[in-house]
Amino acid sequence: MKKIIFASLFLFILCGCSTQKYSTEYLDLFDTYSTVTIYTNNSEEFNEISNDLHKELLRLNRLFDIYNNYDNINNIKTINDNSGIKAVKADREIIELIKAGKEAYNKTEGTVNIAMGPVLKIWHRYRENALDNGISAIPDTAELEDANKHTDINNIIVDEENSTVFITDESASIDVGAIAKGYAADYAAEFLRSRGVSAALINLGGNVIALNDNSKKSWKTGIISPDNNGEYVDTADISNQSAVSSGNYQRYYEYEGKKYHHIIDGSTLMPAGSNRSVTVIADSSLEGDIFSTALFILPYEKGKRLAEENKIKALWVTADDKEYKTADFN
Amino acid sequence: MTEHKFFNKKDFVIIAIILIMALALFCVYFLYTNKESSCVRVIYAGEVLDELPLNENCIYSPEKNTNIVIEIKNNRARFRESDCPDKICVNTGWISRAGQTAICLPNKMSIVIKSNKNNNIADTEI
Repeated sequence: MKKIIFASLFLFILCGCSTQKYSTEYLDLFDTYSTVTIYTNNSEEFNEISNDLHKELLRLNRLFDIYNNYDNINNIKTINDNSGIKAVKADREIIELIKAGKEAYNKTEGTVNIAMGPVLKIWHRYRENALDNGISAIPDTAELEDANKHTDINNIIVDEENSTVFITDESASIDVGAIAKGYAADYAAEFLRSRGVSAALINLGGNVIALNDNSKKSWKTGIISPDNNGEYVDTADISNQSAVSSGNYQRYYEYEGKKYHHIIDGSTLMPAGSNRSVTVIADSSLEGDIFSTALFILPYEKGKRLAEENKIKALWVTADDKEYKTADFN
Repeated sequence: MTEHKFFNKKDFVIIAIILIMALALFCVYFLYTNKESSCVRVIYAGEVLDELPLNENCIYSPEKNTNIVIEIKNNRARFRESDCPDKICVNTGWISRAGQTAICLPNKMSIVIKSNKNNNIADTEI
């Protein structure tokens, strides 16, 4: 009898300890495709956690939206709509994101600028017109330069005490496209931790964040080639870190045989042309987002210096098809 | 001596038999699953519509949306055509490794390579 009890106890402990891997996808977040993999005890627990996470991310998506208004919510569009008019009361997450955006400007020496709204709006309009209506064209230099007069980061005033944001120039606007997913991915990781999850992998449309414990020591991220041939440029094992890629090979339109992608260089007001893809591994996804965008825009030599100064691991595929990586990249 | 050891000879035999059976089962499972070759899973809004073998060239349009054309050629798959505005699915190009996906968000359609062979595949990709 003693033996039977001992044996069943042993078996029970064996089964009870092992968590299982569950995955799901979200199709309605940040205009992209997201996947979440979590180790939990059972599918009920997984469904509960992943549904709650989805709700939280939908909430962030609405807060950071610059194109749509929602009932009873002040979002970034509300702040943009009130530029030059009044300060807008904003949720903690918006305040944090905009503060992070202002820090990003300093960290990247102005390469990542959330006040680029007026310029990005023009490119967005041309891209939509090309993709939705088949009318391909590129904006006038004069129109872009005019818009660029209203992209000073100091136009954005964050009042933390009163939790408000005010844009002082009525023609200025905020675009958080370069950092919102990074913030959301970090938020998602924190949310999962608060629910007792210790092994998970989140991929918010190219912002990967990994949670690891002793049972799952790392996650393998394949870095896809900008040639779109199904090959990997490299793979990276990440553990309690984030991997983020910025590239020109998925989101673009064509005009007179030339591709125009969505990452705009503030110094030329044109799509950045130095690189085909840049992948960054950082401690947070916000950091990853900021630096993958900055390194994508900057020429390799400048980007390399910025990466080294900020201890960022990076992999470049440059416009002339050369591959570089920092010494500590995987 | 009336006190017995916790495990006696008989117990070890039983344990050995159980271990051998477990090993045999594992081998059968391993051999069986390894035989299955890769396939392309076509997914619409989270629901699996179809599974197509990756080693048979074909051109396929899902009934749910005939504006989408999926092509399988030389053990690779891709969105060949789509009526979506952004064409991100088509721009994704060929996929061939287990776990790789191509997604058409506007049409809620995605294709993913499935394989039972665990040949060092990535957990995710960017």
